Amino acid sequence: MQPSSKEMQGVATSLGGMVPSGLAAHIGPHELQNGGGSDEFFDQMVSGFGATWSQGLGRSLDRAVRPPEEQAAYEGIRYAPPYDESSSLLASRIRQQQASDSEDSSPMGKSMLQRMLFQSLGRMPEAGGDTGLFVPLPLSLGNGGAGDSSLVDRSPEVDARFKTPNPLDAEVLYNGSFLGSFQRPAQTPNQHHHFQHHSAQSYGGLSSAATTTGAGQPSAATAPVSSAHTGGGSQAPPRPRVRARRGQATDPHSIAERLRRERIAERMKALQELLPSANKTDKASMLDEIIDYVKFLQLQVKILSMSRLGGATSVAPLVGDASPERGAERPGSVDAAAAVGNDGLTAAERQVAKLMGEDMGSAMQYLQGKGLCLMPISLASVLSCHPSSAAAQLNRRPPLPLPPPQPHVIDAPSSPSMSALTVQSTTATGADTSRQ
Amino acid sequence: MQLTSSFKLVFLKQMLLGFQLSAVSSNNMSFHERKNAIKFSADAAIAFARGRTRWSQGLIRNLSKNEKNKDVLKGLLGREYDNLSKPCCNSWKIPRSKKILRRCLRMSSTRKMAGRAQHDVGKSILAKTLAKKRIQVLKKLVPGGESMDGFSLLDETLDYAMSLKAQVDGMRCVLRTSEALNFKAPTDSTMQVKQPSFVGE
Repeated sequence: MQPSSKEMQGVATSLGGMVPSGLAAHIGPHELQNGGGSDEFFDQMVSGFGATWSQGLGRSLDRAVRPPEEQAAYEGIRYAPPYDESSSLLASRIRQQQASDSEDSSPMGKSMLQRMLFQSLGRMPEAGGDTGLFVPLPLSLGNGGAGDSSLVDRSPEVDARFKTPNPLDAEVLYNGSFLGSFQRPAQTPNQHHHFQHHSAQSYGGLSSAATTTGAGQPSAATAPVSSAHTGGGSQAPPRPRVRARRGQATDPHSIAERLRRERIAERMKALQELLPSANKTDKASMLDEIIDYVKFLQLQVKILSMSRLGGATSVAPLVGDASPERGAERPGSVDAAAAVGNDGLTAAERQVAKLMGEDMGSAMQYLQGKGLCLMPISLASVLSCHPSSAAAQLNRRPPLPLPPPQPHVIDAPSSPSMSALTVQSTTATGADTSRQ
Repeated sequence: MQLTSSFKLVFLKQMLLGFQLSAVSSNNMSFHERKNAIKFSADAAIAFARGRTRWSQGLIRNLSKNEKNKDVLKGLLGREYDNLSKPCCNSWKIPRSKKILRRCLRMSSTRKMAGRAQHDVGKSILAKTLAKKRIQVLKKLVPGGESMDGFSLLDETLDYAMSLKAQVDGMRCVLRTSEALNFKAPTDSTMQVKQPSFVGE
């Protein structure tokens, strides 16, 4: 995280200059997600021609809306390997989804799949046809022609194919061809609608075919499923083949169980990479660590919000200039602080005393936020004797530190001298732009 | 991965705007009020910067439960407020239907498991209960986590943890910067607080 923390420091200090660019980049969240600034990240993370395909694949695979960098890293790395594998992975994913659909009876599954495809659709023309996205098309598409008619012809053909003894192979090929053909037709919105219709039909066909054939031929089902999954999900804990007993009634359940476990294992792996600890034991301890980590982060946020009392005073005006369209009330916080520093001193002192009762650190922070500071009484008396020359004296001296304020803080009467001096200091700093 | 500079920038900007809107820098707030306001701005900022995810929607929903904050939230998020507070109405049905389905499956599977060895059943049940307990805890931690199933919960946890990390880093950065700015100007004409050396009295 080192380079990024430096980045952040640069960001914070030059906030005034950078925020307008950030503003321009953030016209809307959609643009943010498809932002041009992500390209260099992609080039780093995903290499070669697989970038575009895995970009589309990664985007489409899980949810409809995600930042591209996360997807590239989260999904794209695993799917960067060759193209054939990725298409079979897509098919296996679709099968997983269908299996989970049949298991969970979720109505969202199909729409999610449709959305998946549309997104890969949307991405494909951007990917450019010259990256070698050539899917083996056993179904004779000819040269792809105009999209609609070829698709219409294909669907009854494919439905007939589903009755063959290799339903899953046809499924794989159908999915591959279905996606592969999208490159050829020109990208028009009409075709998007047609694709929608066809995909609705096709998924109706696919799911019904899958369930019927899946129940009818468990033997054919298990072999390709296990091979595809061992290819794609190699990080899952190795399932003994013995469990996949053929011909038993519990088979769909065991398949579903296995799929479920693999999905969970994938996610655990990703979470494990996130966590600082590299403890690779079982699921329960991983979950424990995840829980602890989230709790720890939440606690950190809470503590940080406690410690930044009024610290935003100085930084807020930098942002205020850059966001005129927000219509935010700009209280002119710096001026307010200086003005209040002149007036409400007694209230501030009472507040400080109250805070000191609770916690020393918070009292210090409160004072800092107001442009005040604590100092020993002796120093305060020295300085208050010569208010006009105080600034000059201190410039020439080495910077005066304060001893730990605990021994001196107890006297409340010191505060008048303290506050007088620091009011002066705030006005001096406000007026004094040149460094001496 | 997700912690890009654009995300951090958006988060920072939103958080500082939130500070302005809730007038964090004014002096008439108590300690707790200010802490709550800062935390509120920070949370709204990460939810805004992240876009539309389940946890960010849950977070916004939690934040807007307090009526007083709702106006600030609206002003802060602008039109995003409508997007983010849109309720996923079918999200309640899905867990319920899953529970029903699981109950049916469990009944059928317990009948089948009667034939298997006893210790096998015991181990699996133990593992399941352990995992279930932890998942429940996780659901409470992640905002909006109650209405999610196992897989999406883990996804959301991952997402949420990364955003929390970015939030912590951003807040720390602002804190450092503001401290530096507060001390830089007084350094020229007055005293520093931080250095340990002493000047003779």
